[in-house]
Amino acid sequence: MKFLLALMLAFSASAMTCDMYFESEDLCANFEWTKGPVLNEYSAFEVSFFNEGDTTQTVSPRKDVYMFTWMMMANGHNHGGPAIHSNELIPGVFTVEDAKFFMHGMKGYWMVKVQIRDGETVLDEQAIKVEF
Amino acid sequence: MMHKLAALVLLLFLVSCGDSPFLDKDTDAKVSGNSGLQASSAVLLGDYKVEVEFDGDIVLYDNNNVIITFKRETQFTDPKNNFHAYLWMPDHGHGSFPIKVERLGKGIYKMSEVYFTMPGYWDLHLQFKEDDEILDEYKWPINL
Repeated sequence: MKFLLALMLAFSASAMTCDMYFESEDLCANFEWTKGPVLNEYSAFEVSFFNEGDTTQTVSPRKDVYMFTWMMMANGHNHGGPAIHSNELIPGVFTVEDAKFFMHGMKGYWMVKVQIRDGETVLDEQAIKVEF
Repeated sequence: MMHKLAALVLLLFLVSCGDSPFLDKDTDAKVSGNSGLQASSAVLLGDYKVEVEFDGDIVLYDNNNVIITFKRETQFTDPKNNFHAYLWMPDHGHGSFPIKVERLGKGIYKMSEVYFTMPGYWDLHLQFKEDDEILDEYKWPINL
């Protein structure tokens, strides 16, 4: 019983620290805003990859990491946002300093999508909803 | 002999059937931008002759820089009213990220953060404003 409880606690702790899971790499990633998110100005964020259950050491994915913003419009149209540029600061830690969100007549919400790509092929995709 | 003949044919080509497109350096408000192409336009905004030109090819999703100049007669002049610009997609009823305007010199300004976030028909609104009142406006149609 104690073992089962410990297992459940360990699982829930691990799940709590894993914002996104990428099956193709068997890696977790945490997402953290470092500026904003704000509308009509630059926002910044950081995505850190690590082995599930071990946040002490970041791990660089074997394949390419690609990130972009995505607008989910209330009228059913979806489209990308202004281009953003990511930089792998240290292995497994990616920063974006130029995320650009706006509404300007749109109804809906923004997402940040993180993909693992092999060339042009998308192996994995996870998304974070942007809450202003 | 061949050179003289070629020069004569070229001369006839340039002077016949109205203005030669090769000699026509003027652009006007009907000029539209196309993705991957350069685009420029010259319009009247209030009392100013305004020339706008994309700095390089127009690109989707990424930043575009646009140089805009204001002239009265032939002199570069700073506009007396606030200049404001924004993108609008009339078919979809929304705009884009705020355009940044900075002064480079007398009558010469640079617009940056010009993001076309999808292909389609856009209007680039060029305005003179005081507070929230629009004094003059020109909509430059850009079809991408």
